[in-house]
Amino acid sequence: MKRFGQYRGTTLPRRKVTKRRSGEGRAAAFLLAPDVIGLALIYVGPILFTIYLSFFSWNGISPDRTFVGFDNYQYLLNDPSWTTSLHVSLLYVLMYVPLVTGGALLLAILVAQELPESKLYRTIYFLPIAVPIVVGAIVWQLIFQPSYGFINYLLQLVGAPPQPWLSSPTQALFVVVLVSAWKQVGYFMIIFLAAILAVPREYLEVASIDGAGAVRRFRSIIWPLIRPTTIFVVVMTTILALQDFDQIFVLTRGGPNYGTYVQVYYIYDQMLKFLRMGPASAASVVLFLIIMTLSIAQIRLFRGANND
Amino acid sequence: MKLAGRIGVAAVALALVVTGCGSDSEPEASSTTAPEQTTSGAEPVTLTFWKYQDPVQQPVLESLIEEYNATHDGVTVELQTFPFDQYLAEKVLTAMSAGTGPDVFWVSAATVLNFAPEGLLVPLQDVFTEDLRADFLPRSLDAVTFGNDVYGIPHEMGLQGMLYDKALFEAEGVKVPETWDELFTELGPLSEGARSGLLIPTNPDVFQNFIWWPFLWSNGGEAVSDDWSEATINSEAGVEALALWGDLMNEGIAAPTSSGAFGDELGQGTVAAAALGMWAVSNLTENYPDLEVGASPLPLPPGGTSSEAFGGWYTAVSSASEHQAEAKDFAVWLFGQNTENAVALTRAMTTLSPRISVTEQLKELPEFQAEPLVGFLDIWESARPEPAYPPEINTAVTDALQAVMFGGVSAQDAADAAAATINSYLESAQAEKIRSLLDQ
Repeated sequence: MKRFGQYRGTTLPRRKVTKRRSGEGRAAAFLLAPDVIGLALIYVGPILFTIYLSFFSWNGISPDRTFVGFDNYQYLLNDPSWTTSLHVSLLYVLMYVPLVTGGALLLAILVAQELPESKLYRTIYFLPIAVPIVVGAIVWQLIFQPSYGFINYLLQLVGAPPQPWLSSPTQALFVVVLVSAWKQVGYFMIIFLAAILAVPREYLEVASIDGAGAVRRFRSIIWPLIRPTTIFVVVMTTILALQDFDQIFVLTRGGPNYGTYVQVYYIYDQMLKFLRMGPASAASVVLFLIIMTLSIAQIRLFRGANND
Repeated sequence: MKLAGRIGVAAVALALVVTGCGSDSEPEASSTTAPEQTTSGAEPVTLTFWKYQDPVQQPVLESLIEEYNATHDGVTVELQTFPFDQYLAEKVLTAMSAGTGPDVFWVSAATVLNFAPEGLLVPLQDVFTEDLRADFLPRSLDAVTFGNDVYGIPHEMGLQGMLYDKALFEAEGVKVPETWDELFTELGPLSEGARSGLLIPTNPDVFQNFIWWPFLWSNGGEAVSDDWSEATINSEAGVEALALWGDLMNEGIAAPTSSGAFGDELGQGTVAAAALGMWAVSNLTENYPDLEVGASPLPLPPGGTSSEAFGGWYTAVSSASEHQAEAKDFAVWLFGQNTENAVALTRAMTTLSPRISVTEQLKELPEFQAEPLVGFLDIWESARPEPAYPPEINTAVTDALQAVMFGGVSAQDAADAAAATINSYLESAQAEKIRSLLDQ
């Protein structure tokens, strides 16, 4: 168990970075070079190029590229399918983030208990991560099939009316979110589990002796101590929600009637269906800015709450 | 999981598109100045041949390629296949724009419309000669012919029709629907429990349009006017054809979801009939031996005339190929010259061919003289090719279908919205460019 004093970084002697021997620096640069070059080629280069392309009109195959200024951004605002996709993506975030964060936390609390079968459950909840996206999506498609799927069969057993699910523009988005959540929740459960198991036992024991129940122990000890993890999970799930594409491609093709037409689907269509690299790039840049803004806002919000 | 994640994917794909662009700046030069450098037999040539994955076509193509490799010294063809969904949009597009990719590959008519004007395809008329082309139905070559240049060799003619579960219709004493009204009166009683009456494509993509066209055409409608000057989808005929699909879905006749182009639902017993075509027969007879497949023409509106469409792919040669002479030789050998190759492929696919001598041979085969394939022989001569509309027009039509089927929008409103989108596209410079190509 750590003592509080250890968190005070000021007690550690600081080393002056400038006094580093030059040979050491060269070695470091040499060792870092493959990663830096790799990252630059794979991530930074394409991002910069996407920003560059967002100011051009280009069909992706012609040698001609025309500079059009901010026209591509203007194009997005005038394109109803972009506005639709923005709306769908935000709805997606609003459903997915609480579902996965809450679900993962709940599962983590359950499997954190020292029961003999806890390890088995951890494995079971983690398994969907290992199922290929297409396979998982096809199985879920059958489960939610409106006329003979398992879910509607269950609904009929309890006397409820069958639902259209994937053939309803509103319910299809819910199904897509659920399938994505099913796939990811185990991963975030593991992250929460690590955080919960890192909470010092003594705190919980002392609280129990003082008469705190399970809910109180969670609210007053575990919840504040795992806050950094919660921030991480909320930020990551938001990013994932805004980037989902594969499940949708397999389950609904963005339909029915644009019901699951998320931002990335719009980018995909602009680029690979309409061969409009300019609007596709502009939409990528806008999505990047949305993700960045949301992530910074979330981190600040949580940090702010932490300082109370 | 990285912060840049999905944007990165789009960006990387874009980067792939772009990295090759520099090397791709003079494709025409290499296409015209590359003489038959390797036919003298100095260096062995390897040709890459790309197509989408298809379990029915695979063994036929493998054996044809084996035969070609065995009989052509110094040339080796390598077949590479990709998942159907990724083939054109992701694999071919990115490779072609990067100036890499295959020497020979399969394309759709719409792809030819994109690629040929950019100089990405090699004209084939010097090997795919007039004599050879005389054996093909002219309308099967229209979409790949610009001026004197022919950019593709077609090999299949998958005709549309209605496939149905024969035993079920007989057991229930139901007549096979011949009219739009009968779709409701005859298939209605068959739609119960886990089974729907009719399968029509539900996913928003070009396949949905493809199956809908004959409903529009047989009612006397067209998506755009002949000269591509204005949208005509919101004519009375167009609105009625849209309303039909909306009603089929909303009244529970049509299956709420569909899996694809091969009618597995019919084999699984979850639909009684399917608006698909002859290409699905191979899948159904192979994988659902207990199913007795019946086939009939697609039901007609009052006073309508049958006008089924046919789809099909073309073999094309990339101008980025370093061995164009060999690539052209292989492409024309494959399905342009000897008839046996095309017969072997189309027989396996249970489709006919746009090539007259090939279809004549297919007609003599026992399986084409029996149900369900025999019914398609009659419409072979009258069927229309799938229109090579650009994605702007196709998407407007798909949007209208989705809106009436799933969005609760009236057929008139959906048709008007589609017409507005199509008209604004037809006024663009891009549409003007395509119009001038089609006029050639």
